[in-house]
Amino acid sequence: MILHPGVLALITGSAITLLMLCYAAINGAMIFFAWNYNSSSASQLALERKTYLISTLVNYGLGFQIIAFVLFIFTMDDIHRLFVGAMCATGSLNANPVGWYALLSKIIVFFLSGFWIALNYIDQQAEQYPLVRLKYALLGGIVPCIGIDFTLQLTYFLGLEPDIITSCCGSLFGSGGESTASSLAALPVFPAMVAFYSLSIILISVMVLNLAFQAGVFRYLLALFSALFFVLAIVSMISFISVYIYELPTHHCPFDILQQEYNFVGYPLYLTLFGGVYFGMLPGLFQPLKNTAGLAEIVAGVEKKWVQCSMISCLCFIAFVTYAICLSKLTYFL
Amino acid sequence: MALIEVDNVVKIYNPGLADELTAVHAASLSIEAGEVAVLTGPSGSGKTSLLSLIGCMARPTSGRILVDGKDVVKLPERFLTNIRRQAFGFIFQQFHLIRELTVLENVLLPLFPLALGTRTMNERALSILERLKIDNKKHLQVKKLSGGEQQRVAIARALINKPRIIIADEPTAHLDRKLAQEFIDTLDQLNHEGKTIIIATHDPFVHDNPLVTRSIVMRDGQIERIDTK
Amino acid sequence: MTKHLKIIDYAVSSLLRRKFKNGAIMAAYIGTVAALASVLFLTRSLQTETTALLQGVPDLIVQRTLGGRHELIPVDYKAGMAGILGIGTITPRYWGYYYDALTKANYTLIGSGGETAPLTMLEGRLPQTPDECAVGAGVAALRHSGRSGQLILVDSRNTGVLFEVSGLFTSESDLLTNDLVVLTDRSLIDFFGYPPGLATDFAVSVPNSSEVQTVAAKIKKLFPDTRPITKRELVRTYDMVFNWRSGMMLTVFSAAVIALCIMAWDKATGISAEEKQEIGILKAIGWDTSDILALKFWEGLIISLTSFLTGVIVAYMHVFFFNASLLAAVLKGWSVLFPAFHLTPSFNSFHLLIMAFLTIIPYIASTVIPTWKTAITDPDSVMRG
Repeated sequence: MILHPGVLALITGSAITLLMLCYAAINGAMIFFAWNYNSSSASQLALERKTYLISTLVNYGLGFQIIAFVLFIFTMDDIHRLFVGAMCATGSLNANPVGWYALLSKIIVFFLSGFWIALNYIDQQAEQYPLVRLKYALLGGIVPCIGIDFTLQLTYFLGLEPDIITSCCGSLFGSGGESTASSLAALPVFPAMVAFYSLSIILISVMVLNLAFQAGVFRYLLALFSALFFVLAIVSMISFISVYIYELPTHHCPFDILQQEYNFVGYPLYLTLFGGVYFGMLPGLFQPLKNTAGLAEIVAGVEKKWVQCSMISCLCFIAFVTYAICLSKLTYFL
Repeated sequence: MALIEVDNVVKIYNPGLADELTAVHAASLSIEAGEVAVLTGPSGSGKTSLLSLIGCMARPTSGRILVDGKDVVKLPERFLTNIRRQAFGFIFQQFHLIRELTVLENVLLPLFPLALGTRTMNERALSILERLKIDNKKHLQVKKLSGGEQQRVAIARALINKPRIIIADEPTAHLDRKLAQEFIDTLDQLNHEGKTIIIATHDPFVHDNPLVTRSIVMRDGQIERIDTK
Repeated sequence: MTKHLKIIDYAVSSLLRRKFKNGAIMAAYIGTVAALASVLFLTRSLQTETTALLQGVPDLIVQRTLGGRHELIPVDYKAGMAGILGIGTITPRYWGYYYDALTKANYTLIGSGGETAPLTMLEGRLPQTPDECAVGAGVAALRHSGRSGQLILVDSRNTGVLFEVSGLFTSESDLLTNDLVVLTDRSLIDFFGYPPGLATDFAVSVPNSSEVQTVAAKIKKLFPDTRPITKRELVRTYDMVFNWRSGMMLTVFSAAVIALCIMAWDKATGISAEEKQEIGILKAIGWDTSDILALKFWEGLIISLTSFLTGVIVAYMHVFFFNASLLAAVLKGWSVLFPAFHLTPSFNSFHLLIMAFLTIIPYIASTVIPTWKTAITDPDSVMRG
């Protein structure tokens, strides 16, 4: 266990978020079981008012999660000095491999809460609460994920043992970290770049198709390609984008770009990537909702905006990446 | 089709509790567009409760209420709020202005959640204040105004949303005869512009006024009779 | 967006109308933030000082341990180590601690032969004869012994030794030089009565920094009773100590955050009749529950951010203008006394983020439920009186 201010802040913040969402889920369960649209009883009225509370709690919860994500990366970067062989945040995560799972679960929780908020938004546009049971059932499923995220993070922090000077011989001979991400880093640059730009072109084309046509199949395709793009973009980030930004062929850390030394260039990069993928997946995910009475028009109205948001975000992301590569003093190909 | 239709509406406060109260019992009525309707009856007869049901401020325990043909009873709260702020303007017995705010700020309040531009908002407010001859005091705090002036601010606030229906609860209770007459004149003007007006009052000066087209007499939460003129 | 700007506008006016109530919560909030921020600023600043201090540390320090304790190291070892590839120079260092009963302070006495951090001479020069010494600015101030003054110290045989002060120095970090007295190696050995042929430790330079670990391993293998300490390890250990200390302090101050949250909850729950009526009015004239929730959110955020920034500024002044007078003893307590200790202002966005996380989030979270309870006020409540 490391008693670092950042670690304390993260544990506190996550505990608060978890508590808030548990409370939301409990209230959601009450609605799930007792909801009766046709009743005008006082208890039904009370349930209806609880929907406001739950929306607020989940919105705040997601907001906190996003800030916590940034703080997590910051903290990883700050504590790397405590571990032998750790050069950046990657090293801190390697110090206790649970860290990688914690990071992954944070990404998953981000997307899940985001999807839920979109679902909640759709439901609020309809006059008859068509999704009320569905959304509170799903909330009941998301909260355990946040619980898992909290546990993973706690396990990670508790398992961190800093290499400090001990009374006998120091920690000189402690082992250096083995990089889990090293296989990704070892990907050859050229094929990775080709793959990245090919998928970018496909993704943008699918978006254009989505804007031109209403067919559901395009929506599903977009969701699929957005998800693929997310994975490939992260891989590319490790494999070649970071290298260009650092101008150092051996430095593959996907977190250091968030630091001041690199003009915080990581923030616009990750923001546009997450935003683009999030909005890109929504139309496909919500396609089945069009069969629910009263929702077809609402979904159709909003999904166009989603595709547009996704397109703008993804184009910005690709533009940032290309700009960073062109601007870099590092050149692989001439 | 009537502008407002109330069908067999019941409103019970605190159901199942010791202080359970049936405020409105099996009320049915309809009001056409352009009417001046008055709810009368002794205090505690359910006038105010029925008024707030019509104005989408509260939901009935049972029954149906249609505003412009749309059933509002089962609408989620945010839709109800929408109807309330588009269709209705309210004038309350105690005026219910925010005393520390200025006249202009009070009048603008209903527009805050509507995402209008500041310019549009101010123009609209000023033209209404001018019309009610209170624009010279627009930057005064409401608590510094007289009773009659406060009521004019309250009317201005009720009109800022350009509502089709104006709802007033005991509007003359705190006014002397002269001011009450002024108020009636204002209502008359608004009515001529096509606004429907619904007033709850037990002031004979209001309910016996020739302006009134329909008078609904209530007793013990029930509608005793409806007179149409 | 326009809608939220309008609601923020209203939130500000609403807060200003309830100065007393909001003033109380803000005062508590500012106090809490100032306490937390002082801890972090102080830690951060000390960390910076130590980093500066550690700049002058050799790549590798070789100590000898005996029975798990630090022992003097035979100078002969030097010859044995010299053969190891990758080593630049090996310098035996002589130093020790001296408790001065007169000023009740600890001094560090160091031989001028060993490598030390770069010292900036304010006046004079380093000692060149056994009866000369150079002192740090802090010692000079404490003993009122300026240049060409004298310094009397009591040696290991309990006899007073008189040193001429030949120079006065300072360096980047006050921490390092304040308590420092530099003697010649000869007189230092004499003064402490170190047995001949023994040094306190070795400073080893390794020109290629990536070889430090290997060199250390070789030394350890050759001389099993030594303890090689790398510079990196030192930095890490200091970091650890600082993090631990500030972590402890934050834990203590978390009580303050909890108190603040209880207060926030309480204030948000016990709203006045007048305020409740105001919300009733807003709802009656067409504000939705979500508009009221937004209003309350902005109110909370305005209070939080204003108090947060004020608290941070208060802490900054406390730590860097008033030298953390309320906290210093707890955090920098590894040495008995630091005469005239001055902190170099330094803070970073990371620490601001931590503080924001530790104060704003609990505050906002503790007002959610009371706020919601207020926001669901029936719109017809104003009509029912």
